[in-house]
Order: sequence, then C-alpha cells, then structure tokens
Amino acid sequence: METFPFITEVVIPALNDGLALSIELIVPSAMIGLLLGIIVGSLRTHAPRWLMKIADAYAALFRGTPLVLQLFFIYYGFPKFGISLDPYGAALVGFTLCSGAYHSEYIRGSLLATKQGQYRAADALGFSTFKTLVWIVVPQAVRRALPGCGNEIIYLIKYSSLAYVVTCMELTGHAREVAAQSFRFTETFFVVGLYYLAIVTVATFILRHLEKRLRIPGFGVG
Amino acid sequence: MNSNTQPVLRVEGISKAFAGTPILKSVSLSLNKGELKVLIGPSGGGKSTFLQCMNHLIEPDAGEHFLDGRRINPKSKKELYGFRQQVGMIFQDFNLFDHFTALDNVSIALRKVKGMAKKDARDRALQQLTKIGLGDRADHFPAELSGGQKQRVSIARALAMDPQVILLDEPTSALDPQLVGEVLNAIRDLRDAGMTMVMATHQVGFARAIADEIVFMQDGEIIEQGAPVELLAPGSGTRALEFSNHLADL
Repeated sequence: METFPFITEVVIPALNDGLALSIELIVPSAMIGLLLGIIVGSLRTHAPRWLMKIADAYAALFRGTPLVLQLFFIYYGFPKFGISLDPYGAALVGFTLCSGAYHSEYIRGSLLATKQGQYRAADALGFSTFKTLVWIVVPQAVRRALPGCGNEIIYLIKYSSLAYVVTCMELTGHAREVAAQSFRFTETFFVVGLYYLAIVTVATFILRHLEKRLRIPGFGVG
Repeated sequence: MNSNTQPVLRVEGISKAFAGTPILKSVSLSLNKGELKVLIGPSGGGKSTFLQCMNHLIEPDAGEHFLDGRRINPKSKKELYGFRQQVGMIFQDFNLFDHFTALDNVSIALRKVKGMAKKDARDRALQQLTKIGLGDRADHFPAELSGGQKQRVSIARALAMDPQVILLDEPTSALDPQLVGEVLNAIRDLRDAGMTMVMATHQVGFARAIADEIVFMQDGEIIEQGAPVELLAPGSGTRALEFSNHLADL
C-alpha cells in the first residue's frame, strides 16, 4: 500500500478510535488534577502540621516516582488490596494523582508568594483561615500559578500516552497496534505525533483564553 | 450598662516580645465612645505593634481585651472573629484585596463573614463607597486607583462592617503628599460622625487639631498621655512636644 492511502485508510481511522478515549482521559484528569492540586497545595501551606505532612508525603511520592510505575501499581497492585479498576479507571486515577502532585507545587509556590497584607486584611475583617483561603488567597494564587499549571496540563496531554501500559487503548495504544501489524512505524508515529500536536495546540488556546478571562488589571502580568 | 461611663474598648497590660526583645511592656489603653486617641512617637517605639495587638492581629504575650466591658477570650476562634468584626483596621499600605473591585473589596466580608445576601451586601458596599466619594469608582480594581482612593476604599471596607472601633495604623504614611488631605478629611468626617478611633500617625498637626487625647509612645511604653492643648502646649516641656517640634523642623 502506498504511504498516503495507508495513512488515510488505516492509520487515521484507527487513531480516531483512540482519540475519543485520549480526550476522555485528558479532560477529566486535567480538571480533577488541578482541583486536587489546589487542595493539596493549600494543605501543604496552611493545614495543621500532621495534615501538612500527609500532603507533603503524597506530593513527594508522586513527584518522586515514574508515572509508568504508578500506573502499573494502580492497575496490577491495587487489586491485591481489594481495589480493582478497569484500564480506563486505573489510567484516570494515575494521571489525576500524578498531575495533582505537580499542580500542588505550583499552587504552593504562589500561595507562599501572597503578600502578608492580604492575610492581615482578611483577619482584621473577621475572616477565618478557611474563608481567607477560599475567598482571598487561593483565587489570587491560582491566577499567579496558571501559567505553570497550564504547563503541567500540556505535560499531562503527552503523558496520557502512557495509558496503553495498562491496556487502555487510547491514541498511542492504537498507533502501536497499527504499527506492529503493518511494520510501518515511521508513518504511524509521525501521524500520531500530529494528533498530539493538535491537541496541545487546542489546549494552549483554551489556557490562553482562560488566562485572559481571569486577568485583572495590575495583577500578575496585568 | 451605660455606654457613656463604660469604655467601648479597653486593653490591659499588653506585652509583646519578638525574639526575646521586648517591643511592648505592659501597655494599657481605654477608649470611650466617640473618642479619638492618637499615638505618636518615634518609629520602632511600638505604636504599630500595639495597634495590631489591640485586635489580636498580633497575639500579645500577655494582656487582656475588653469590648463593652466583656472580656474577650482569644482562645475561642468564634469570639476572636466576632471581636475583630467590631474592631476595624486601616493599614498603612491599604491591603486592599488585589483581585477584587472596590465594590467587592467592601462587600466580600459582608457576604462571607456577616452572611449577608449578595444583593444586600452590594447595596451596602455601594452606599459606603458613595459616602466616601468613590461611588463612581466601584468597578475599579485596586491597581486602577490612586493611593488616596485605595485608602478611602479600605476605610469604606472597615466601615461597612459597622464596627464599634476603628484602628488606623499610619493611614497616610504611604501616600504622596498631595493625597494625604483626602484621607485626613475622610478621617475627620468619621470623627465628626462619632466613630471611636485610635490612630498612629506622624501628622502631629492633624492630631493636635482633632485628637481628644495624644498618647506618646517610646520604647514599648506609654510615656505621656493627655489632651493636645496640655501635652503640646508651648513651653510644656513634654517629650511629646519635643518630638512634634522635631518633626516640624524636618
């Protein structure tokens, strides 16, 4: 088969089958991961000591071990503890936990950069620590952390390609299958690369739009 | 109880040390309703620390707080948060919430601390901003306001909580000279409206004109205390007079 028909008749239909699953992995784990990162980042800076330690340990574990191992452990190891997840579930949990750990670091950094005066003004008005976080400090910290968190989401899009190791047939899984059957690795992976490039481009556009929408005069990059 | 005889706010024996260095040495102050007391004295004398200890923004090592004669238990978060709602604070560098418009700066505590409905909080916030001459700036963010306007928004924010006392920590020190007047006027209006206040300031002329009492602090202690006409009378020989003459010479 010629290269062009091979791509249009074999590769693209196969990849389109995987595309939906890739997006179903990326979108929820990006959103839940960010939310998790905000919560964990807040705990790592403002929680009672014991809770702070737990949150720190979580971040250290997931930032300190390869994602591939985390996925293996969740998919093959968890059933030994009575938690059985299907491939999609295992990949989703793995991505969310990993992404949350990285997000928490960006959030933690920007929480620490919050001016003391913001806390004192909230204290002086009778805000509790929790309300200060929710209404004053976190909304500012998230805005400052957004470029970093966006970067993490871009990473996530690409490490979602690891889902195939737990037999979750997303983009890369289908590409491997096509390539293995046809022995046409170059063409196949070239096309799948374009797919990721397209997803990242769309994500970058959405993140830019979000940054613009959340922009406040004189705040951050203004 | 009669509020004319009972101090609105009284602090007793406030002490505070930082890293073993005593900053406040058992300072006491009592405020009657509608009184304006002005703290003056050299920088580093403890004025700002004392003000922040007065509403527990800084936890004093020792000392007690009484609001309307009732002792505040700072160990109870609920009492502490309630106390702070009654004792507003104006900061030297404004500390407006950077991510909120002027209107939201004023209304956020009404909604989230006092639990007012969104619309009521907005109405009240707009009313406070209008009162202080900033109704047309309600939708501006702090970065879009001048220093004087920011400080007036922060005054509106404190007032909206309907506090019994307002503490002002050098409210004009971070302002360009031409913006000082609008903030001092706002403070004068507050005083005329009967607000009970303690203000730390270097504006001795202003203090002399409107204070009920001048409190001179140095080295963590109140050295002198009295009506401006007595304390700052020419030839009175007080430390406060010496200090204010020194400021005037600068």
